[in-house]
Amino acid sequence: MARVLVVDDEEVYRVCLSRWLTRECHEVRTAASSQEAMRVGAAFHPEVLVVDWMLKSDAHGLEVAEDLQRLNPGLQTIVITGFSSESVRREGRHAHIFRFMDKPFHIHDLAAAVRDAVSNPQAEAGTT
Amino acid sequence: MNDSGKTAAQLSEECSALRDRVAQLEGWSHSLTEDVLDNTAVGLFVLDADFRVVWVNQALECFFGLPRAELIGKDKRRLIRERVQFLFEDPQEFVDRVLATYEDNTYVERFECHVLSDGDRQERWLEHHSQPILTGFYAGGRIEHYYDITAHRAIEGELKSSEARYRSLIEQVPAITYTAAIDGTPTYVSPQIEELLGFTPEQWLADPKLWRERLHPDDAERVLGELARARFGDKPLVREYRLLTAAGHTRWFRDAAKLARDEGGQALFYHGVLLDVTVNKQAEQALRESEARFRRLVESNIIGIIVADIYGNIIDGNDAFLEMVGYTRQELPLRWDTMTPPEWRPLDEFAIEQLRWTGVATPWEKEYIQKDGRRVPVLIGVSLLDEPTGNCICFVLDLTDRRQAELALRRSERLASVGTLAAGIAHEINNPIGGILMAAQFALKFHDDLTAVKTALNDIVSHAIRCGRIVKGVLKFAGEAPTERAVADLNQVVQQARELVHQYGEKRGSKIELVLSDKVPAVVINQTEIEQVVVNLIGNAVQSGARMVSVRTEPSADHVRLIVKDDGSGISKEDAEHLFDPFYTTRHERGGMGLGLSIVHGIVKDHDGDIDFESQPGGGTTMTIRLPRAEAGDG
Repeated sequence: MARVLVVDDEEVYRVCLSRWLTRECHEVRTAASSQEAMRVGAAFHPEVLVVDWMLKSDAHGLEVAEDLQRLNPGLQTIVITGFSSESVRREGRHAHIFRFMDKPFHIHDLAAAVRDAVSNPQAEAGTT
Repeated sequence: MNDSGKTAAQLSEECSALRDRVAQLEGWSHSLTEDVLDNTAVGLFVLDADFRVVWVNQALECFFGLPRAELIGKDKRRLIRERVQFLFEDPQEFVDRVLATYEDNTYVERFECHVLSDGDRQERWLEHHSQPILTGFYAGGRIEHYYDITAHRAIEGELKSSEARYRSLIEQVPAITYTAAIDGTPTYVSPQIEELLGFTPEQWLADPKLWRERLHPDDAERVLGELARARFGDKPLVREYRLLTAAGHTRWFRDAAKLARDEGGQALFYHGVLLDVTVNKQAEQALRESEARFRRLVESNIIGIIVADIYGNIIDGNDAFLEMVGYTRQELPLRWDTMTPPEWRPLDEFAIEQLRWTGVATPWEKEYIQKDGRRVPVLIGVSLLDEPTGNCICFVLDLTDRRQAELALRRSERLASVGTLAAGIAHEINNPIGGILMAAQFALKFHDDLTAVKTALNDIVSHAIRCGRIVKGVLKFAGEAPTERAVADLNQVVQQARELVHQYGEKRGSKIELVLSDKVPAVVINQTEIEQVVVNLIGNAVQSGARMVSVRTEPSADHVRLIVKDDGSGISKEDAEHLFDPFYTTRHERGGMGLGLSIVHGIVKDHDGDIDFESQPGGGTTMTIRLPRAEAGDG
């Protein structure tokens, strides 16, 4: 049970993840852009952030994570990405990312990652 | 005396006998003067003790141009003062010298005098010779002879002037002329020796051993040996050797010596010329060295070297060249024209044109047909050796290895770009695939909720289509996708493209302006593809923050130009290098896929067109595309 913010510019991710995680008893909010994420995040105080690495025509997923972490210390971030190169992962380590998940991923795995982030909030960036 | 005892008859007889004798003597005398003395070539004056002219001969009349009648019986002194002196070039000298003999009629005088021409009188040189008459009838008188020395003087003069000429010639030429006695002692050496060897002629002549001493040690043995063995015939003995100058420098000389002989073949003396050939020798040495270097280059067979002419012959070639084209030395001469594939001939023609004008041809790449029919790529450079014959020297580099290296490089570049491509594809395609997977799992989980299932299925459909589009783009870049083309109006295509991006531009504050020329000829294109080109270019311009994007069409010689100009952020130097690389993007963070310009590039190349750009970072970008115009029959 946690407050989860899902940020992705693709509707399918927002819709599916939101309903799935709600079914798992999380309280879920979604945002389609970084600005929306900041706005929602400021009031919602999420414990877990699920953010797309690349937000189209918009700020970087990592920037959203860093800004929200400042507002919500202890925020666990799960980055979902189409292609996680080594350099992306290095950047992530620096920014205290809990977990990277490469697309396409099983929705069950993402749900498990959110559970892990809540129960065992140790940054483990580098694994998927 | 007992003459008184003689009878009158006896006396009369004696008288008659005496008369006969006198007559006889007179005959002799007359004969002596008229026949003998008149016929000598020497002019004669005979003077009595009072220096009156007793007799002159015909030769003198001729020399002086004065008749005998006007001279005989006259006082010679008066004659000289009044007439004779004026015959001569220097009258005063003549007067002084001749009158002096009359003052003191005891000595023999001899001098040369010059008679000037006048009327019938000829100019001539005479030698005056006079002496006193000591005995006989004219004792106390004087006899004067004039010898004609005109011819002698002329020869003498000629000799003198010719000697002067030769001497001046000898002393002008940049060579040392010398003569030497049979024993080798120098007898003459021209002044040039001072300039060339630093010794004066006097020093040289004073020391007969000097030549031997100044011989270069490395040449001495050879030269002296040659000299000892020499047989002097008609031809001069020519040797080349070094002499050391007074200052110790080395100079090269060519020494041509002859032995002069008299008519009987008896050796008289040596004469010869020492020509300074130091410069020639140095040039010769330099030439030899350069020849040796060249020969080493040719024989090293590092590169192919041939001697050919501009008419198609290969006259000679080194082993490297022969190996390159697969022929043997025995098969020389070869013909480069028949060894050249026809498509390369125009380049050869161009090179020959260059050779004719400048003597060298810029190295160019071509192919030769090897003996076995295969082709070998080469780089060839040519320099004209000799204009009249059209002979050239050429280097030929086998480019096979380089071609293979280039191929390997292209392959590895391709692999690298395949890597980039794979990463790009993964990145781009994983998103929709992830969406599909998620939507499918979502639908399975919420299968009771038909609305949710329907939404999920719709998502699956749209994401699958997106996947297909991406793959198509990749194939387009790879140039594998088939395209259909037709004659089209480029302006219309541009207008349609503008419709597609108009809204997009407006939302981002970019105004899109079209400047379409109605003179643009038809083009043969795939409309959809060219539309995509225009859309991509306008899209890029908009994304670069342009406030004004201008799309222009214009005709050019055999092309149609499409120009997209913006006032956006421009392209950095670093980005410019990768501009057309697939998946290279400056907008990764903003979702740029990096396929836009590489697709544009692929499409334009596919249309046999080309694309070029000009850009200043911060100063906008101009992309220019040229497409070939449709030709008659393309319809």
